[in-house]
Amino acid sequence: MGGPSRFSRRWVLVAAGSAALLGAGSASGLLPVGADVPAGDLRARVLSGHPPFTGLSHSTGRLGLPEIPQLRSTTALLTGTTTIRSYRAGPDRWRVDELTPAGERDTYHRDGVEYVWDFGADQLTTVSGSTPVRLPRPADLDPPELARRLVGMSRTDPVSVIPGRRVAGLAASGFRVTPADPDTTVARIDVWLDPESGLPLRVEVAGRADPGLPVLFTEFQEVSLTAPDERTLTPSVPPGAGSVTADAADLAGALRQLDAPAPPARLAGRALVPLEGALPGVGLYGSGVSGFALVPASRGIADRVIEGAAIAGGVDVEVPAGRAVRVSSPLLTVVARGGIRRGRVLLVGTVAPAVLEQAVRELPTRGRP
Amino acid sequence: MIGVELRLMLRRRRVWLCWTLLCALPTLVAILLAATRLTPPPGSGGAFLSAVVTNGQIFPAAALALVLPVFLPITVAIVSGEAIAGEATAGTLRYLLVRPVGRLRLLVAKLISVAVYVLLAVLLVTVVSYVVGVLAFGFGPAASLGGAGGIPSLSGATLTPADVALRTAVTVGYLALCMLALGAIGLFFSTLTDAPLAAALGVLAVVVASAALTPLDAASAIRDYLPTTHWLAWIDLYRDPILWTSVRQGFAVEAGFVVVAFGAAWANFATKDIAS
Amino acid sequence: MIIRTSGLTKRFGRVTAVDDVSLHVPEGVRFGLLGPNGSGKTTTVRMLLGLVHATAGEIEVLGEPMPRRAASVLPQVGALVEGPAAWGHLSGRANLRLLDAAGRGGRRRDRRRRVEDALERVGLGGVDRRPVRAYSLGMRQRLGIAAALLRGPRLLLLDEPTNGLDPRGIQEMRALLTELNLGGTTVVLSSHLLSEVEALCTQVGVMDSGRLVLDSPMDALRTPTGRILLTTPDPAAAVGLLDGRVLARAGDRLVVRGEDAASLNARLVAAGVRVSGLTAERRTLEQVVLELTGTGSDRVDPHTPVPVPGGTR
Repeated sequence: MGGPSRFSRRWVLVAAGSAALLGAGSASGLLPVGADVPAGDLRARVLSGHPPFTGLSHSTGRLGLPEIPQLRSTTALLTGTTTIRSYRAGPDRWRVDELTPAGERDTYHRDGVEYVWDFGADQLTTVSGSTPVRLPRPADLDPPELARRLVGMSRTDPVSVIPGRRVAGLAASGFRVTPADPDTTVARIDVWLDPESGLPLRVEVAGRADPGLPVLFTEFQEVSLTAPDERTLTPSVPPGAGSVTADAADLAGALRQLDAPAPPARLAGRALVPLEGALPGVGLYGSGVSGFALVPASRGIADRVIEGAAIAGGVDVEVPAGRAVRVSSPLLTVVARGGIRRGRVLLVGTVAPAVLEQAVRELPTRGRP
Repeated sequence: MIGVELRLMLRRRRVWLCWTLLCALPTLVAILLAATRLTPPPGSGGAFLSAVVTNGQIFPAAALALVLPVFLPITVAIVSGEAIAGEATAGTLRYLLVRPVGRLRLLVAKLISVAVYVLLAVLLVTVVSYVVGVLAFGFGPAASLGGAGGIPSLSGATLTPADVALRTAVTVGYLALCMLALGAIGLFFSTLTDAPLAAALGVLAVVVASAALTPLDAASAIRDYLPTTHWLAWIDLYRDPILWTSVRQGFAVEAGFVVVAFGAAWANFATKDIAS
Repeated sequence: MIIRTSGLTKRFGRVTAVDDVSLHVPEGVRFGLLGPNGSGKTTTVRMLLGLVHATAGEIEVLGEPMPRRAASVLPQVGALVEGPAAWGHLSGRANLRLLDAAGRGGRRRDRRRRVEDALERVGLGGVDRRPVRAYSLGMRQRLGIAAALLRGPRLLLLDEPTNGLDPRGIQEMRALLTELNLGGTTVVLSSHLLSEVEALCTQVGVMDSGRLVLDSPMDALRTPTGRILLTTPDPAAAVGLLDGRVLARAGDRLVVRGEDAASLNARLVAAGVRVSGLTAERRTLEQVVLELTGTGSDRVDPHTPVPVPGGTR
């Protein structure tokens, strides 16, 4: 009869078929990767161009920051995975959608004006003006944008070639920036780009705490090097939806209400970076990837961070007045000071904890220096 | 045999009961929403549910999102788990096989009848919820406001009725394929046991296990190959422009599941001893 | 030979259900497969039909190997395996129509006629539209046999065909099977009822714990026992005349040693002894089966056992 042998032959056939399907699903591992290109050339390509593209990327952060309700959308970017759909025709004409399972939040940028469509709120917001400092948003995290920003901040740091890989069906060549500053938390910035167009396809950032594990990485799932059409870049308000306008300077107004003192000229040995268009009480210190920001905080935010810090493994910092805590994530260090009227601040940066602790101690404890 | 199988399915009371229940849940939700006007706040609740009150034409999408996670898989598990095991329990399996009906032909007929079941289930939910949605919430803003019978996409741009029809058709096809993948798994389980209930529970176990693994970071290596991962990809069809990436991926994975599960069913059933 | 198996063996795990069975059923016979429950009859029938795959051995049905040629063999075989089965939510008529439509062969136009013929033959011609789940056991049994007859088979394989039938039904079924057999259909039935097989079959096989212990024509089994049963109104005269040859006496009935009933009759009549009944005793099927499968029996035979004639397999 040969029953048993026929039995096993059929199963072997099915197993082979399944393996073939799985192989087809992960066959990209066998396709050619990008060739080695001198790292300096690659860095120059990243910085030089804004090739138009349309693409879908996933950005993942593993920073482990405390939850702050007022800043949830920002912390979500740095502690979870965000799906980003980008359409970029040029530096001043683009649209970036943050895709959620049952909706999306689209940012359109045209001629200096931004429009934000929020499906959940059923509303289009027109934002005019801009600020020199703002919170990170999904549009900062697609691979080309993040690569340009990080590589731009580390122009003088040494670069080296790393093996190419395959990203979104393209052969990508890679290079690594290793920041030289001993005070930064950034161990390496790896960028893979399409050597032909210069479009970055994948970016990985690892902290010094564990240089092997990327704590922030973003990669295209799918990308096409064609410019998006005009219709896609035009925001539209569906009938029945709301339409409002906002001014980016509103943020300045909110900050002004805190009546925070002006930032000191030096903090922790770093000079204040001059900014265009002042935001009251806000200061940027240091350069490159070893910088930090000083931001006045409302009582709610400061207290919340101090409370949340305990859960996130924060430590108390001894300060002359009030109360301060520090939270260290693999990449970002955050110090919050509370308990002083008009003196509540957040210090955030990619610098070693000791630098921010020193900075918070140097801060004036009274409203005016 | 295929015609016989379809006639058998269409004359089962259980199948009609499943269809009725599938249509009843969205109808109930529509009635409650219409009566109370209490929609879930934007961003929470089922997909599209916050938008249906202003435009009844979105209700089919909301209804599909409602039945997809639990209800639809349960009915697919019941119907597909019964495929072979039900015939074995009733004893009709041996009479079909000595009629003779080839074993492969019997499996193909069963798979086709499951496919017809899921397609009709998804289609019925869509059609019924469209009618219910329009009756309860109307056609949306009048043409004078620029509504003109269309619905807003997730990206804000208004979709024309033709556009909506196309996207809905693709959605129905895609969801039917997702459910067919589950049905093929059910068919395989159904050849392993003579108890239809055991096969149905096996399918539900697969659904639950897959849904439990999907959000785990540790399972990210296999996530793309889990059946439930791609179930919500059809929502991308309501973006503008349509985002095909995950739908295409989902299509490939679910079709792969159909092929592999059917192959396994065949490998097991072709030489199985029929002792019932 | 319409069925020929050689060395047919089926093991389920460590249990051997059928052990080295070599069965031969000639065309045109009514074959009865006897054996107690669990003796491997049903498994053998399932293997003949390709439902269960043999562990070892060869099967030929209608001259073709099974289960390889099932597609050409089975359309000529009607079967009833371990009781009838039907889709309970449909009527008997709808069941037969669907079953007819499920396989190949037979023109669609003739389907209604085929179904009505089969129902007519088993006495369900006037059955109404109620679903099968409302049928009595006997009606289901008739429906199962109708399904087996649907395609006008050359070979009928029936497992316990009279289950659930009342005495009239059993009588009808016997008549039906005999009639079909006279029309050229080979009938194979398995049963644990001796009377059933004895009343209907021309050839018999006996299975016991997986082995075929007997496969023989009925006539060959029923050999004379060397005793003659005599009924006479003058028992005392007969005993006197036959002297030492009388083995037993009960009222007017005598058991006489000897094989030639005719010469005994002549002798009695010549001596003036009246004879009201005289038969050469033959072995009953029951006796044969009990001898072969004796271990399971708790009965004590009143007669001294007769040696099993040679030639049993």
